[in-house]
Amino acid sequence: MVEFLSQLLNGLAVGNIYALIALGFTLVFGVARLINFAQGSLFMLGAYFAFTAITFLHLPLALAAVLAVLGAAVLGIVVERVGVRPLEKGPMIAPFLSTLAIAIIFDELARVVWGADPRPFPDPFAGPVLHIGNSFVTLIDFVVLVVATGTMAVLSLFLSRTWPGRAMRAAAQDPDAAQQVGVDVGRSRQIAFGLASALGAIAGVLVGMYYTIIFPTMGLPYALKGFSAALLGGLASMPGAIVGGYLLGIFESLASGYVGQGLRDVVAYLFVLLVLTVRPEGLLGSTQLHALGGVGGASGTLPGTSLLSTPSGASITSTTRLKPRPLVLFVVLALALLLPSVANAYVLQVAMLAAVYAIVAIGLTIVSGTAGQISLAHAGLFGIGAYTTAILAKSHGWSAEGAIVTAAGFTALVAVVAAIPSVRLSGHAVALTSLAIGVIAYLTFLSWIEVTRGPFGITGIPPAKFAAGFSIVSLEAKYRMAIVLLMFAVWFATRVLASPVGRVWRAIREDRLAAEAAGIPVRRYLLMAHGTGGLLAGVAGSAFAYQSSFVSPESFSLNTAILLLTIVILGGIGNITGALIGSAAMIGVFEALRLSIDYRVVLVSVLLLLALRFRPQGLAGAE
Amino acid sequence: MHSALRTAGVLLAGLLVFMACSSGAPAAGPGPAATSASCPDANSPIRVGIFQALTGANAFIGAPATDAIKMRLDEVNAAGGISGRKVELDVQDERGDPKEGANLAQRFTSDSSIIAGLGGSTSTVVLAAAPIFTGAKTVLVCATCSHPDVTKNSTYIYRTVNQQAQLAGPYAQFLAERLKAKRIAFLVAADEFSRSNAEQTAAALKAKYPSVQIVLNESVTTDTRDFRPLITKLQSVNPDMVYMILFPAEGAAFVKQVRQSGQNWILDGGPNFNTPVFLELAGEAGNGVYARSFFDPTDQSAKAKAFIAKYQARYSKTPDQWSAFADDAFMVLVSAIKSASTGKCLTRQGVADAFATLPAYDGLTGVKKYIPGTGDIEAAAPSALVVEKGKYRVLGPNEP
Repeated sequence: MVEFLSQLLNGLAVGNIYALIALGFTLVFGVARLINFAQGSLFMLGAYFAFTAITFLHLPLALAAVLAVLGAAVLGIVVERVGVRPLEKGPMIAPFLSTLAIAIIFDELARVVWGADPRPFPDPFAGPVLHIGNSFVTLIDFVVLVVATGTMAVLSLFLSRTWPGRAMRAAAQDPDAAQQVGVDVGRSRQIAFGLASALGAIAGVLVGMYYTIIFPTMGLPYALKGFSAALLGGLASMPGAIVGGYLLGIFESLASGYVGQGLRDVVAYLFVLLVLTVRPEGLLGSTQLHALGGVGGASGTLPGTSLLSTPSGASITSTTRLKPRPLVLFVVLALALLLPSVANAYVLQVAMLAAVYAIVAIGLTIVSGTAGQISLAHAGLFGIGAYTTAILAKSHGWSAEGAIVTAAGFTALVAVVAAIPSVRLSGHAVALTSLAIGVIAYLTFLSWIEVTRGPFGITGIPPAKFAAGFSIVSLEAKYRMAIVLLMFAVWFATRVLASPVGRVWRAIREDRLAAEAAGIPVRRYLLMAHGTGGLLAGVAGSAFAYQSSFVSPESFSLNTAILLLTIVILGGIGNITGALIGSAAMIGVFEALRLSIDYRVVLVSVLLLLALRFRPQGLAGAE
Repeated sequence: MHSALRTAGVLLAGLLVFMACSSGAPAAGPGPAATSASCPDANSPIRVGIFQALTGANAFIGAPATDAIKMRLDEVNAAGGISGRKVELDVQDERGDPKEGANLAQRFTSDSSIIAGLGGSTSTVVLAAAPIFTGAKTVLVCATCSHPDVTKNSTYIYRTVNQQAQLAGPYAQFLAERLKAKRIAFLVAADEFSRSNAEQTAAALKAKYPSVQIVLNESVTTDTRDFRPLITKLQSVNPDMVYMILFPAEGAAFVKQVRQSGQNWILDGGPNFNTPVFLELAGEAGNGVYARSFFDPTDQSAKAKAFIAKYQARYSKTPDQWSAFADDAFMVLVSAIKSASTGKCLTRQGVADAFATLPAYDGLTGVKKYIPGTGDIEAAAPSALVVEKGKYRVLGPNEP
């Protein structure tokens, strides 16, 4: 009993932190309905700004904190100016990628400026510790509690009682209507970005003091927790962020105490998914939209909004796009089969990787582009295909045909089951739940040691041995196998998209309410899309396992998920040709830019920003 | 439609041309000449492909490693290079990502001017690269790759670090005999190195010290900072010692929270705590923590002192074990290249053959002597350290 109560207290302590981080996400994603994936990086920069001011400029803590918050707010406005405003006329998914690119630039620059090693952050509140049962609280716990609840109160007042706050909500609900009644929508968006970044920086400084350790990549892990807490509580609700934070904290503590520290995050994310399955709007989320079909979910967005339309509702799919006849694609791919006779091993290796990524990307572009469900789970699905193949081929000696088909089928099944919570949601809530699924998959590869060998990975996967009587051993053969599988993927995807099923997917994406009203079983069709995406991810995973003869969890981390989504959006979402061009560009450019080690990732991100600036609908155009 | 088509076409064509151009390299085949001066490539530099995590989460391993190699390279070249030829590096970033490891392995092995590879900041990157190096009959030396399978089924992969199984005996002995632990809790980072250390040390404890109990065995994911639930759980299983096979940041966070909780467990940080980063992060809370060391930054031996002084002068920071490991790996490779180019023409196969008769190298992190017929070195047990007043002190043979 003492242990259980102590764990509850531990949960409240860490929940405090999550609540504080969640507030910033609620403001930008929930209330202002904007996408800012740089929020986690601004949190990190807030901590580093304060660290620099204290350690190198020797400023007192309070002054350093104020400067850090101001600095982050200014950067937030810069993010809006560089990453969001130029894309106003583009599809709503464009800022998704542009803010992500900015986040990567911030993280990399922080590493260049402050070094990759973690740094110690001063803790002015160290000292008194209060022991309660088998747990303890410190002074900083109370400081965080006061700041979190205080921030929530001030924000709630700001949003409900002041003109800028109301304008922000109005601009979120209907930018055009708000503009017509005289709200300066652009300015309102700027305020939202600045304010959310300031909140992020406050959280960053406090987390710095709390754990006294800061590091350049700290944005992502804390941002994931902040997202989850905000989703859990209801993405549009300030008290929801607090409740979600505490609940997530308590659940993690109990998971750590009674299930195992290694499974702490898996259990926590499963809990978030479970809650969202039962209550898509989150615990304190508004149920007002239920009358409209209730599919808006925790994001609070109207279910009818397509991610491909501009924020004001205009469809952008009619712009120029590259859509060659399928025959042309096949001729190009057939020509690609001849590459081994002109290129050396290095070029083949890179091209082979690009082909495998193109297969996953085609699956992802169907789920995210055609059916409109943005997914960050595809790295996980890719991994499931790879691990299934590795185990079947190595431990059970299966033939390649059997292994590839089984991997594809099993991955499709997992994709369908994992999508059950997300098909009830829309907007960015879908992306966030899929992110949780991707993280669960990665952590499962890492911790299910009996099956996946955990961090050891599976080594010595035998070459693909087809029952038809040939084996794939040389690099040239592996490359050709990847291209043939890619041809299959293109053929399969073209057929499905041209069929009535493909048309229904696009209809759901364009107007989910109308589709529902027309009697289409929307969720069933969305599950089909996820299954199709999973199937292709499984095929790609199979090819990857055979190619590298080694699989380990790192290959299927969140970074891979982000790379895949980047490929799809850069190429032109929903467009098969776009998936091909996107993966050739991302994988190829990344290898080609090996000129500057320190700035390679930054350069790629800047190129991405430029590409989006001039073609927000993707290189080949969204479809 | 047409303009879009054209843009995409131009883009793709440009990309292909770029990749084709950037990959070509002059061929330099082995010659029959008997003296190295008359070899066909006697005037061109010897090139080594280095791949390390220079960015990303593993940069804390790869960046100091590469710094150390660059420093040593200048020294080797200042002394006239190897067999009269200058040495050049092709340094590339693998970001701790296995697929980059595989790409770089192809890049190096398909460039015939590169004689051997060195790198892979983690075992998983090495494992992705190893089959490609083996297939191209090119030597790969790795400095931080303790995975049991790294050197399996290949005569081209050589490591300059021990497998965990080789060191499990000394680790177990330290815990059981010198720290006199009876009830040990294991905290294990979720990477291959830590997991392997935990499994092997636990097995050695069970075999040799049956009275020692392992009361808890918990895996800790990267970037975990909140350890209070774990500390509450530890209190209920009541260990007398916690063996933390964690990286410095997680370790420092845990140690600080243990101090706050007021528990008096013996804390042993195993092989990953021996770094100035841990001291800096843990501050006062770090005092009394034990660690194992392959490289001691206060080492007074002549070779260590020279290395530390040079490193400090060049990079204005204290070298850690990652730089020392990489320095040793580079020197082992240099010595193999030297013996492969003495009295004969340097070839990739020659470097691999040289490892069979390579003399033992007494490096910064212990003696590197290859076990005949393998790519593994003989066990070199680490010394033990304790943190006192914010500094490491090497323990005597009968301490504590």
